[in-house]
Amino acid sequence: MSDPASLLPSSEFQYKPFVRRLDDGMETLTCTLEGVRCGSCIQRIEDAVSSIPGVIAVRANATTHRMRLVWQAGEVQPETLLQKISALGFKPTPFNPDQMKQNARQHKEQLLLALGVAAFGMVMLMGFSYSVWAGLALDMGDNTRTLMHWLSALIALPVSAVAGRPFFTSAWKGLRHGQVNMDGPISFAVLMTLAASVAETVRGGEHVYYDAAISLLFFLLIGRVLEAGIRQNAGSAVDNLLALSGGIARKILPDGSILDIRDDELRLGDAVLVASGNHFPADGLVEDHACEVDESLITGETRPRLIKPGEKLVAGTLNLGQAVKMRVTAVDKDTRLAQIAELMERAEQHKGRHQILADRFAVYYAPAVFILSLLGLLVWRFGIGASWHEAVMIAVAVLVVTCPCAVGLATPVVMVGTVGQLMRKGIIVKSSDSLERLAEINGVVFDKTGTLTHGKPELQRVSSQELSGDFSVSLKQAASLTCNSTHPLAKALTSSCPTHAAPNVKEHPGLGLSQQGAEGETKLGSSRFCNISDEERQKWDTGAEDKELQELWFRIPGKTPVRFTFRDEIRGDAKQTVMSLKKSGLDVFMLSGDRANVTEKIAKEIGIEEWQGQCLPEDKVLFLQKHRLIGYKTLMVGDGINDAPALAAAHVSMSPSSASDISQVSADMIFQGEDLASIKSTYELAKRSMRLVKQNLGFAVLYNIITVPLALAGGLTPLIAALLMSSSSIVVMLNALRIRSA
Amino acid sequence: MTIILLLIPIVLMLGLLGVVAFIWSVKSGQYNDLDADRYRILEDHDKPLSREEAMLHRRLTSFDDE
Repeated sequence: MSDPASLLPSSEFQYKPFVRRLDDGMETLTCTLEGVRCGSCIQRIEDAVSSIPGVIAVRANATTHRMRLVWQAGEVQPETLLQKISALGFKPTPFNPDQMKQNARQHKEQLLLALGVAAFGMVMLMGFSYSVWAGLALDMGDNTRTLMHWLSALIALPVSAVAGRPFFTSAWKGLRHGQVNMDGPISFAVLMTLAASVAETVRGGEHVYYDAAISLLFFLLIGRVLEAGIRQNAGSAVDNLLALSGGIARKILPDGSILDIRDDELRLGDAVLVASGNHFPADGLVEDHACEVDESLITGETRPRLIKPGEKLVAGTLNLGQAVKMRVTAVDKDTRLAQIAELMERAEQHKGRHQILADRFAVYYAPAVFILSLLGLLVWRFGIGASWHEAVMIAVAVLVVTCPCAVGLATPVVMVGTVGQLMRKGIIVKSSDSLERLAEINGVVFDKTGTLTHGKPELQRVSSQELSGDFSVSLKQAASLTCNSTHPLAKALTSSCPTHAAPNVKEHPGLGLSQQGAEGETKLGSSRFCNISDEERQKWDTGAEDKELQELWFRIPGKTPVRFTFRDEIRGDAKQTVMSLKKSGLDVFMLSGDRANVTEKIAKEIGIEEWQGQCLPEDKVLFLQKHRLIGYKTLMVGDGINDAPALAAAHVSMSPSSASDISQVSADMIFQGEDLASIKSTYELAKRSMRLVKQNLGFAVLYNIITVPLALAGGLTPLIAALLMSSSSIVVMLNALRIRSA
Repeated sequence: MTIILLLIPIVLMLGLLGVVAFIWSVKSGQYNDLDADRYRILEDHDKPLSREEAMLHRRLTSFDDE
């Protein structure tokens, strides 16, 4: 190895820029943790680390997968702690906690508080209400009853101020933007019911509905807390990724020494050393020597490109060659990567306008309830000639009985069950409306590289035959040369035939590997590097298609050169998944940043008729937008950085967990594992969950058809209202449990 | 029946106590990480922390910025 810079020790854990000083000589570090499966993992980490002298505090969180370390500066090195954790089998990655968003947890906390207060209120009110119901049967005096009512008001009013806040603020916000959502009718019902009950209490009347109003809030809050739980789990996974994408850059100072700094601290004109296997932290120009770069995350192009001194490098691409020195020409918002991120943000805006089914239902439901209530009021006052007071009570009765418990719970309880089931299968769903959007699709768009294919080259053939006999010896020899190379083709050879590394192997970036031996030089690399003559090439040439495949030639002195061909293999279940999606009535498309002929071949093999190659990220977004205009609601499945804007622009999107960080942040759902079959099963589950939601809403309508006449006829009492409310909620929840038998 | 004039305030007090305790428990972060907390009670701490140590530990390990 000729480059001295590549001999510099680099810490396995790049933590220095993230250590913060606290008072009293203490230092602290926050890390994300990978590999935490359950709470007992936390216990092991905390036990192991807290026993190290110098450690002041360690706390790991199993929900958010984060860890806080505090130690006395000088008494222990952070490196020791990180190594200990790593030795236990967990991968700690330091990050800057300022980058974290804390919304999900705070939101859940607020809802939990509201729920607790509502529960308290409901229990107390039930106590008083029950005494009144029992008392009415047993001859309770009017004054006692009025006392009970006043006490109920004393509890119900403050409780509704706290417990009702999530609904009131949401309804108010919706009203200001001209949108109707379910919270409008809910807030209206609660406030009207309380107002009428207070009026009735002042009058000393018989029917008050305090418990109904608070019970309504309680049941609805259950649904909200469940939904917030979904968001919290998905939210922290995403936030962790955001933290990881802020990495370290190795800046070369004027005196030649290296300083580790954060990516966002780089400035124009800085010199940066990028080691083999690392991503380029900013756009720049190559300074010292040519390097091979894997651009597939940005462009989707599978072949690495040789970039010579003076040529441009793009942030986010991978250095495959030896450590290289780069001069920064663009940082932050000016990089190509930032342009892609901006494209992504613009594409995402259309998602905010999607109304979930329950809210679309509310658009009809709210006015209907209001009209019925008003009708009751008018008919009783003017049609039947009742007093104002009686007419108002009828109107309130209608409001209470059309209680949107069933409607408000219809979606959350189904979604919680569905998301739970998907989580068990290893699929992360970020919000319940992404499941609704998934159920609506009529087309699926796949990215090619890394999604339908494995994304890395694999050994296909040795010379013109499958691995057999003599050739497998050559393979083993070649693999011994490639052991320490990070070039994708070399890695493909190493993984197909793991063996010991040969000594004295020299890497020539962009060309190949060589080894000086007794009989001469053994070479593995491009045909030019190995000096392959035309006739030697003819020997193994099997046709035109060969020219498109990536190849390596292997020349052992004195023997016939061997040719290795590589292919980015299609995933095993790709063809089947596409077929089953088509059978469900979905149109399937494929987009790729790779060359058109390669894309065409793969499309034919998988069975996709409509495809497009050589797509830049902008082209993918355009494709999706065009199809949206002609009526397509698409599911986009992709993995590279070049897919992130498309993932945001689609109606709904999925990403494998092997995808780049930005894609996982951009996608609505993330699926673990290698199986594309998850896509089909998630789609089926989403459709089933929407069926259950519609059943719940249908039940709510049916329930109203039966009970509204009862209320209009004056037959409703608080007791009956409470019973109806609880039973409708229970029916909806039981129906939602049917998702488990899917 | 006038006993209820005593019982009702008692009930309200107890209820209020419950609500206050619940609000405190949510705000002090006890619901933040139910998964790990299940196992934390099984941990073996041989030397109990002094009051100052315990308070310092709480301050240092609260995930406030999450």
